Amino acid sequence: LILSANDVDRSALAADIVIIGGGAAGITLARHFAGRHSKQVILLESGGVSLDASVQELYSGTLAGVRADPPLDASRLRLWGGTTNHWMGWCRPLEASDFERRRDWPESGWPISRRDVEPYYRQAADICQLGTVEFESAEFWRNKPGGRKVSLLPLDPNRLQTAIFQVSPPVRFGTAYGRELGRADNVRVVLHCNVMELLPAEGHHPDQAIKRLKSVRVQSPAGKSFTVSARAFVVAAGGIESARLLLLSDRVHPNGAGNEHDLVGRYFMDHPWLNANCYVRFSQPHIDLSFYFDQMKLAGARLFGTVVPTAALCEKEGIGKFRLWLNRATGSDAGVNSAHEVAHSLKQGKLPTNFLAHLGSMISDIDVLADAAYKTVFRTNKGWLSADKSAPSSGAWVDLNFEQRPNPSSRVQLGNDRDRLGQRRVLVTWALSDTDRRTAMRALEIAAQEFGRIGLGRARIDFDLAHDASWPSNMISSCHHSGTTRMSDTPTSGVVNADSRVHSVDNLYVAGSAVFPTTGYANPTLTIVALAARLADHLDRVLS
Amino acid sequence: MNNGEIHLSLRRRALLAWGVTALFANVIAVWHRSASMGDIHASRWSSVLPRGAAEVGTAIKSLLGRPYQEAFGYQVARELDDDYQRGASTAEIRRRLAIRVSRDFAEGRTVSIEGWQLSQTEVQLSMLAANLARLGHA
Repeated sequence: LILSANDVDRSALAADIVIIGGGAAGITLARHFAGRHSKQVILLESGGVSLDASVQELYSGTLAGVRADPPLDASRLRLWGGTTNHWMGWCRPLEASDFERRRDWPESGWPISRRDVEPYYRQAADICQLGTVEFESAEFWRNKPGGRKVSLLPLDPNRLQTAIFQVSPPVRFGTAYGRELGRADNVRVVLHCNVMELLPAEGHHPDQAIKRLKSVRVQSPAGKSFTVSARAFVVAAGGIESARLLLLSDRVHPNGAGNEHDLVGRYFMDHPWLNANCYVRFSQPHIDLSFYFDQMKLAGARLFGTVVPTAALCEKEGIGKFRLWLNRATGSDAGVNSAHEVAHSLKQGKLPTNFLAHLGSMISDIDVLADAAYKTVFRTNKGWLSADKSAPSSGAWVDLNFEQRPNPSSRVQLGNDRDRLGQRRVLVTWALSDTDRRTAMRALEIAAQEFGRIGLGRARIDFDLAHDASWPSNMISSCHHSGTTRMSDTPTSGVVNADSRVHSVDNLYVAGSAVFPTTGYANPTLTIVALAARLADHLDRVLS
Repeated sequence: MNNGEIHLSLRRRALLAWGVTALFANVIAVWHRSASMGDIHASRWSSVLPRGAAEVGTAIKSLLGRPYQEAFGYQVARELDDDYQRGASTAEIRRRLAIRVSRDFAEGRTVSIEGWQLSQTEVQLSMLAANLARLGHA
């Protein structure tokens, strides 16, 4: 059943489970219970079925720290289906080592292992409509019809390896699963429904070690306010908004729900994304990197290869995980080089000395520049120049995406500005450290060494990230907001426990990448869906 | 390594650097002759050096300090000369150099030249080629 908050004619609704947020995690949870009449579920979504600028505007906030596009009201989507309405569909599970505690990063380590999530990755692969759950074995794909195209670089397995990504169609969760939820008479999806705060149970005292929620207070765009009570509540509103809602809920605790130890909102992470700051000039023409350049259709799946480090290398180097995505360089790169140099000089308030020469290069390569700009702006690898896959490529642009070290200074807080509903907007301080600079620098240096060793070619790195150096101006956020309600063994080191339950609130859970204590290099959606499926199983058990 | 390609990207730098290095050319040439060029087999080395190495080397030399240049220029020269003394063929020496370049990369012995990550050996070879070119052995 799908309805609008404007049509709710009661002052209170009730269910067994209330899910806040209709994105990948929230919809996965709701689907688990659809048709199982022993549980009544209400899913509350702020947006409608299509994008509404006035609703989207509620996501505006202040971005401090590292300045990187896109802004907060563009990096996520506030509508039915959430941010899956614009995701790229890249899927890969976290590595087993991503769940483990690193000796050199005391803030690392999940309270669960990859084995705990393994069966849910299989479910997640189905939900994301992937071909099959095989990510590790290239041999598996090579044995499929047409699989001989899976040709891997002969990388040193002690340093770098090829990581296979699969690509979801991509599934737009709202469109794909909305009808199924609409048919389920034990699930009510309430659109246009803004959750204002979480409310504690009667007789509650903020000093209680373990608290309990009774309901949430919601408001429709028309100003109608009502409460929704339940036995269990799941906040599945994304890596920033989930923390915001907890912080806004100061009737549960003066610092915010679950925030007894000042951890809600801290450890905010993203995957910093450096696009085209490293170029590999091939040593010989006609090198076959099609498995890395192009998405390949095999056995009903779409997949491609990226270059990633081993866990041992990262620990030895003291750096985060990273992922290198190779993009075919077509035609000349002189224009792109010149554009970088001119932009760098202009940023420093001057023209480069050989400006006219650069201008000439840029004009003669204007098609390449436009193609690069298109791919960056629209976050796609499908530029028009890349369409000619038969053209020999002289080299490759290396696209670097890396794991940020968990950092308590990197955080989501409530700002002083308020949205039109009267709620305090977010202040997001994205803080990157010298470890992150080192990760970016070493990732490309190690790749350059390995590409040289195997005779692929020589790499040029277009930045130098010494201590305190500015990040390249073209660095962007991957919009993989994570870590703000991190999962931990103890209440003093995180916000939720191994079951994704807020340590200090008996019936409050968080789903989504907000619970990731570390991010690895993989895109988060597959893990978000897997953890949501795991949480659904848990709720099934505890509410029975 | 495709030195021709790198030469293209470094050409601008090489031209700029040329004026500066030209000032020191005579001094360097005298120093080369008096130091070690007399007892090495410069003409035979030229046959193993990659095409375009001299241009790359000239550009690189302008970017590195003098002590670094000297160390780089002659360490590889001595080893090459030893190979010749042992009667190794040009093909054999090229093969050994390729292995050495690969090993440099594997063990992280790289030098960043204007962002290009090059192996120490290939930087040494390029600088050697630049020296030889100036002495008329290219």
